[in-house]
Amino acid sequence: MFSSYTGTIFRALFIILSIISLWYLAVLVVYFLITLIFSLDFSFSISLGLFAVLVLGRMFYPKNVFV
Amino acid sequence: MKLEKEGAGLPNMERLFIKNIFVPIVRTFFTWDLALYLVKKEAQKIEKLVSQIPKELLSKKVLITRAFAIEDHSRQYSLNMICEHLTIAGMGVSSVIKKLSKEKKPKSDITIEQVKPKSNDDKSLGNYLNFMKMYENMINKLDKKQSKTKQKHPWFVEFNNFDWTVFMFMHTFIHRRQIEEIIRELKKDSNV
Repeated sequence: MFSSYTGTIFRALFIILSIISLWYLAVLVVYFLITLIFSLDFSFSISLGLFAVLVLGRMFYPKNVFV
Repeated sequence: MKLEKEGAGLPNMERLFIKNIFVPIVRTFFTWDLALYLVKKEAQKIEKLVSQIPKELLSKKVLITRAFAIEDHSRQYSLNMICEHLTIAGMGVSSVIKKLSKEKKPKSDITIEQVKPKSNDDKSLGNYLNFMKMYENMINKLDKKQSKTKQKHPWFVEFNNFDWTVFMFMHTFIHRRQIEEIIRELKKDSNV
């Protein structure tokens, strides 16, 4: 059984991973709709690329998250 | 058992991990609405957990093992004391959020000693739930624009108004875990 200390860290990681998954899901849905509207081929690697662009964008806009 | 003095802070590795890894990740993926939704869920969980405990045990101080992101001095709290701490700290943070949202710098820095519980009052849960209603109203009325003005957290980095709303969730989450641990200890000692 995990200690309370480890359990808290795992729960915090779970929350963050869930939120990251939600963002990815949002990108996936938008990308999927675009492929349908414009009759493009769907590719998971492109969806991951778009997600990376979104993450990079959020890291520096509206503010730099490292400062 | 002798605990460290109040305001001693977190172990260095834990503080640096939160400051340099956790804070940037959280800033990247959280939104205003998400932070408010999650802190409300935490308050509901705290209400459910604390209200099932008999009144005579609410003020019993319980020593728990080291908890993540909680300084050593705060390890021996009662359930009332945690609710009081959440209210005092929450009121301080709300005031900082309001000022930062107007691009005004709060006059003084928040200190850990200021937000320690002062009493062990049975009304603490009720006071905390009332505070949460006020907090929700306050956040709902905000412009949701990230401020350029920042206020330093005593352990981490300078936070703007948005960072403080996310902090409100993380702080409540950490203390909800502490409440669960205290209840676990109380159940060992009595038939709760």
